[in-house]
Amino acid sequence: MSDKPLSITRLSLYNLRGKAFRTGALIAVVLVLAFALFSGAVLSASLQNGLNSLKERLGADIAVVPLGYENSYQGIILSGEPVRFYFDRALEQQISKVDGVEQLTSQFYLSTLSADCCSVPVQIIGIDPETDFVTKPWISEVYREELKDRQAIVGADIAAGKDNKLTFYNHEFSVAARLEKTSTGMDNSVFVNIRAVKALAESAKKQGLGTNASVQEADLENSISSVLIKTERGYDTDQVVTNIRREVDGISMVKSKSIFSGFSENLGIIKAFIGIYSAALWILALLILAILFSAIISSRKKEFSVLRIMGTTRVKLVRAVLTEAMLVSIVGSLAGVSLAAVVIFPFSAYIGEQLGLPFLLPDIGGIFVYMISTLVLSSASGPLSAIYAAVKISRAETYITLREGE
Amino acid sequence: MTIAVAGVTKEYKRGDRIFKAVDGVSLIMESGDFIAVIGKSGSGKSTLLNIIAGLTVPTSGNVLVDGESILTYSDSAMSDYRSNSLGYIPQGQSTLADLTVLDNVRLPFHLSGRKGDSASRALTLLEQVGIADLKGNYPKHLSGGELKRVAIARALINDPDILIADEPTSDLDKQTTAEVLALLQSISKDGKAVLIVTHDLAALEYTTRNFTMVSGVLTQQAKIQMI
Repeated sequence: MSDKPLSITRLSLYNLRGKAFRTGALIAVVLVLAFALFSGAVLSASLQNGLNSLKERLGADIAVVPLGYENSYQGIILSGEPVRFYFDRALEQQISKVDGVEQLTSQFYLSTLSADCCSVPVQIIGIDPETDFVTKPWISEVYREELKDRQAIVGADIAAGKDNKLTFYNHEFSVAARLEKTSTGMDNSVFVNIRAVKALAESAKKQGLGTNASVQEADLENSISSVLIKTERGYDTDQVVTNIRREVDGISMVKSKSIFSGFSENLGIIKAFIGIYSAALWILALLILAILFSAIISSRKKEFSVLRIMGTTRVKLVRAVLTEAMLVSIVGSLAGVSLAAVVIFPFSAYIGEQLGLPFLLPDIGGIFVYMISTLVLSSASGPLSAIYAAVKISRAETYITLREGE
Repeated sequence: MTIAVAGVTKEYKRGDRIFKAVDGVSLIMESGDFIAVIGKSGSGKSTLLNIIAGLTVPTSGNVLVDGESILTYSDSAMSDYRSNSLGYIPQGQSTLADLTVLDNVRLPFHLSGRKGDSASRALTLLEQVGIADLKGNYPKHLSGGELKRVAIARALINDPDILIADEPTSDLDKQTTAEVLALLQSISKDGKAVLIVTHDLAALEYTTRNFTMVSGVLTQQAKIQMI
């Protein structure tokens, strides 16, 4: 024989359990809301993170590349598409003298396209440790020492062997550190010392291993792939680009801001859409729930009248209705957030790919904040939408509602 | 406990006209009374019952419980009155569908904020009304007579001084009607004041005082010949 006190919460639980379909329908509405709110928030934050990560990784204001290779350069940055292009190292000297150039460094790109030469097909980026100002800030987050010739820093998506080694063109590199996920092409890149990558390219050239015409024809010792420039304070990037163009021929230039300005614009539209969509959905869910609760409460007039007859105060009656609404909302919110997590987290790479935008999930702390915010917002939706009907039934004259409920 | 209904009138507006559901009714109820108010549908007897229970407010007049007007009660005090002093058996089916018979009976005990063993008391009451064996069943599995007994047991859980019942024998067969009325009679003999409104003349065999109600006017009858 059960003698558990029949509290308002227990009474609400019995009611919800007794009306499984009705409860299920209410939970489903909140589930959809929580799913949309949480996935929208994570999606929006991931896109913003992706863009921030891209901005951070670009580092330089201008990238100078061989004529016609600006798209290839963007490919390295955005998707890590393996490319190889070279021009004369002497251009670095020329560019350094251009008005408005504060700092510059060169990089050397080598790609491994076929599996027979290397353990994984990747973009190898040779950096000059003496002048590098682009990669150093974020490489130093994971590795503070200078890269030795047979050491590599790898992007988050690069799979090294069990012995933590990578082989490129029969040369073995030990993985010194792994970079955090950036959702840019950097995740598929390997960073090595520029001397090492040139030696590697030279060796591959001699052995005729998987190299293309650009490598075969290049004077590798005196070649570089890009010159990355930081403009002087007070100089406009466009102005510096014009200055360089005036001084140096046979080059193309990529402005960092032009890479992410398009994304910024798209992201702004997507975020605005997600925001409006979420707000509209929340209001719609509140309205649907308000209508549902109103109809449900109306159909339970006799039950509430009987509760009043048994001595339930108005406040307790409102509490009973709101407790039911709250329980339904909590279950719906938890289910919605869980479902969104199941859909978004395992498929984040695919989602990013489909959106064609840098997509980087927030860290655990960030996700937790979005999760709690969604739970609070969607859990509040039930009580908020039920409050009018609850107060109305509690204020009605019991005799009238008793007769109406019969 | 004494309940005094003093010159109570309840008016409703029907279009442009005022309709008096209860018209200047006075009545005194005391412990041990078993009072029946008999009248046709729409005569105002249920309205009178609900005024006494504090479920609707009279247009004029007063309802005094041991000399105190219930019309001055706050919501909390009124709830306390309904919970502890009054047991009310509404017309028709009034059990909560999602609670077992036992939980239905012990619910007012917990709603009133009492602490203690509600289940034992509820079971004693279910034994008293003869349906202890149904304690684990849900209302949908019970007959009309059994449901009425659940409502009676529930009305008694907080040991009120007054029990009022709106058409307690409606929809019941002759045998069950007799059983329910006998049960209410035994409750009144235990010292509680019992007030029922009914149009069932069978009730007159069990009551101590009878009234008729016609167009809102209450008249005490020594013997009722025919309604």
